[in-house]
Amino acid sequence: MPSSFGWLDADTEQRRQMLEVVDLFSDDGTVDELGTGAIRDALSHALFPGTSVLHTRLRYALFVPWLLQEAGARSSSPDTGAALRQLEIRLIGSLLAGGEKPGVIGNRARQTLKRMPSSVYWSALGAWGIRQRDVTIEGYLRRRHDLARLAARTAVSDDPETRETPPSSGLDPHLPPPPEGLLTRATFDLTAEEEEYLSDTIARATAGSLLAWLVHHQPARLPDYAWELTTLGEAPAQLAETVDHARRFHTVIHGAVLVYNLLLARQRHMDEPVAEFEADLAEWRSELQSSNALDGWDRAAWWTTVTRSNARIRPLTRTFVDQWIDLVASDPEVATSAKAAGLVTTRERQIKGGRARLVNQSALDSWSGASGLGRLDFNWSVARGHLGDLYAARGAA
Amino acid sequence: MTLVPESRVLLTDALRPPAGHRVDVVVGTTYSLDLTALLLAPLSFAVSEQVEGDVSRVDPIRLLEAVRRHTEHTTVFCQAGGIHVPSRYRSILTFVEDSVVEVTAPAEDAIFHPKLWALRFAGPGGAVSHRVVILSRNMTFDRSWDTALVLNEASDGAIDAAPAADFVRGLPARALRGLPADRTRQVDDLASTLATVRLAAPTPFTGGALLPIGLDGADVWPFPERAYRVLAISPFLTRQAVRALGHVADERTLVSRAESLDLLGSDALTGWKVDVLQRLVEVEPDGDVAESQPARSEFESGTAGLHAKTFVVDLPDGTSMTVTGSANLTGAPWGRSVEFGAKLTGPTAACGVASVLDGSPGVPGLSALLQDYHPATTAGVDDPAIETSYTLERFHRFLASNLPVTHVARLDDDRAQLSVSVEIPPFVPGMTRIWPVSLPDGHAQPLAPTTTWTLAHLNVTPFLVVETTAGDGDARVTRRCVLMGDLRGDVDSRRHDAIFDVLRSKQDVLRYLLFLLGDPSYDALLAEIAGSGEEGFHPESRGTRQDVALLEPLIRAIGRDDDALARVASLVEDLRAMPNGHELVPDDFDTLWDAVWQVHREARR
Repeated sequence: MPSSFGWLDADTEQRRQMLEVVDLFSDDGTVDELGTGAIRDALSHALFPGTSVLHTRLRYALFVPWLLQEAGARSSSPDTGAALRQLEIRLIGSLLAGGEKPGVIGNRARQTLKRMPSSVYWSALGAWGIRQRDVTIEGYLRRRHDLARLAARTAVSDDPETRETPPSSGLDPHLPPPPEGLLTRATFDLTAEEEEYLSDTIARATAGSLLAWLVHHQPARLPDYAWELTTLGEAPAQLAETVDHARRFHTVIHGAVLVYNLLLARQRHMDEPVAEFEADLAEWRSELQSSNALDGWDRAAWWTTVTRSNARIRPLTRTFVDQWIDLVASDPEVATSAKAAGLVTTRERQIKGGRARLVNQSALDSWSGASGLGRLDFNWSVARGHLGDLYAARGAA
Repeated sequence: MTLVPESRVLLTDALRPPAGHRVDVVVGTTYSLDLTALLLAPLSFAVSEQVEGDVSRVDPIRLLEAVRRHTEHTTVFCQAGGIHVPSRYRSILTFVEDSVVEVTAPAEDAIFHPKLWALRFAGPGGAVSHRVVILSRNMTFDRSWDTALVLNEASDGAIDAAPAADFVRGLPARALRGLPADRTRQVDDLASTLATVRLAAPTPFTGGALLPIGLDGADVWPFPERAYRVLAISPFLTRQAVRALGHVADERTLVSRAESLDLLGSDALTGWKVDVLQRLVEVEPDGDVAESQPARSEFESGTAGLHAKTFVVDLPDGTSMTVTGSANLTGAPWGRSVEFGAKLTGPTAACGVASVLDGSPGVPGLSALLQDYHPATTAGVDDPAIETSYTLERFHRFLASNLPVTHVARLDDDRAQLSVSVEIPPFVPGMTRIWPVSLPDGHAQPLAPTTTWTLAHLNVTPFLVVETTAGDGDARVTRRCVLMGDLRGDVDSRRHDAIFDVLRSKQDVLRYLLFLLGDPSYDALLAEIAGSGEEGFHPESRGTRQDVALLEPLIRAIGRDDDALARVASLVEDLRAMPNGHELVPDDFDTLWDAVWQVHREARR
């Protein structure tokens, strides 16, 4: 086995979290400045289980198990981990040869790739029932190796009739076969058989989610946000309700991030950005009204929805969000409200301590001028891409 | 791999044997120790791969089997007074008692701080293979930014394993109590085979050396006189060590924790570009961000934040060195406290400071997660709580080092009396309470030369919690840790009870038997009969199987896996000795077993 050096993760779930955090930090727009990321993730999980901001195209959910099978089949040496890595790097070339470019994981990094598709899609494979839940990549390869050795030892004496259950390798036995030329010339297009398999598997494993519902209820158009789906009225009531909570939070919390940026701009005496953020806040206020984001919002039901997906949302986070909603509901001018400024300043300090920009000059100095302003979509853009891949395969069939 | 944020190593992968191998001997070292984390390590050693963090999700029968099988060849050396109080006591912890060895550093008032694992695996045909793992994380459930260096044996490896072998060999001499002779032999035996091994450097590094520190009292300072550029990553700092490393290069970056930098003050950081991790990359265990908490010492460093200790130096000859391990930038030279690290070398283009901070196309560098930091004051601030926490740590180390004794007396079939004798030093800081770890803290009593509890046999334990609160106002600190008492007059059925606390039905025993046999073809079946939240691929077709054929794995074990049969034999013996044992034996198993055992004995003749 090769040696390795890197940051330590306790388990595959933590590794996924860390890779996602690194990804969010590579873009100023997605930085979670006020610590509401756990709520965002809870809703993403409820609506689109298994999806990750690291995902690009859906066919990786098949590429990864195919490459695992291939690496496992080459298990004459115990070092199947290195074999998998080589296959994942070969896949980059194969996809580029097939004419793909956007969405190819590692098309820039190539040999130096760290974020392997297998680790990016591993959680999804579990959430979608394509692999057994508690199997790690290394564990799968080990098990394949052990089973191969066992088979070699017992092949002669073993009467197939005596074995009632074939040993499971950890991957779904119903997985479609890989295409010819997977490692020489591949594309992201799903075949009809693959589409059918993924649709059934994902819908079954994520039953009750918006993702599952959309797999089997293809809308005419995939809009920018999930709540703009015109077919939502036909969805089960609880789903539509969760989507509505997401819509309201998307709108309400954006004001807090705008106030945060406004306060930073004021503290840095940046006149032009100050005026821009003030204008953005006025615009946000009219969006708040036109979208009825606050009207008739059942806050108890909202928190029930959030905590159903993540029961461990901290009281501090919940208090901040509640206070912000109360403030927005009562005070129309958050741009000049001392209370709004105080709430946001306290929140930043609470979670970042001495590293808070609003209290630490060097942290303020390094502010890019706009952060955390990307609008929350709860992984809809990722799910939309996956659904688009499924729908396209249906159209082609 | 260099330390760009996307270079990740899974702890379970670092400990798991290579395919086709089993764990032979393991020695681990840590400063602080979480007993529940120690419980999970054997799961990584087991052939079965089902291991994911949360202990409450682990099948208790699988855990029992893994722990019983692996503790006898696993020895963990930890700082006396460094054992954390587990959040919940489980009777299964009784099986790790023999694995835990409390030690102290040779130097007065210094600490035992290395996080090293030395592992020997046995492969097909008796071939052995070694691995050395060097971590910055203690054996705890922290979610901090820590590093892992996993060095596997390779005949053409660039790194000599002998320093690790010497280090391991020196550990038993640091123990508070003598190790049992067979454990000492085991540790010595691991050291003797490890001594001649070569270890492969991880790509892109091309060379390196291990850095044992503090056992022999020698000074260690692996840095050159002059270099082009330095990157120092260390959560804890001292002025003197920061100054010493600062002399090495004019272009230098320090990544630390905000509270450590505040203690130092900006004057001590002149010439350094100073960074901290952005708060929101400190992922909390539950995924939500908590109030920012300062860490005062390694023992209470909390679960999040920077905890890595790694130094990258660009040398004048176009190469770079990376020093990584347990040693903070708190001593220059290192050598008082016991530490373990490694030096890796390679071309600057691939392994230098820039490759870590800036990354490469498509691979973000560490800088993306950092922010500038300027301490609030020039001279630094005092945290009065730090002095208290050192006092408490010394006090707990004293209590641990003076070997508490726990006398057990059987009262009746269920109850026992536990009397704990502790040597109390002339000066005792603050208020201290003590209680057996198996009881809730409502059973705490004030520290006294002798304290007594009445408890169930199952709860008899050598592990004692001490909790001390001292200091006033800002200096007030509470520290809790676990001490190990010498258990005398043990209740003989304690471990037996702990096993049958887990195995309560024929179904449980059947699954346990399958784990004992460790046959890979039965993993799927085990998951199925466990029926424990494991979702199959087609849940609607899943039924509960009571009629698992044990015949096949038993026969396969004959002549192939004597160890497996011995494990089963020992369980059968235990079951037959129990008054209600027959209620737990799976139907028809007795007849089957007697036949298998007879064939096994004949085959060995």
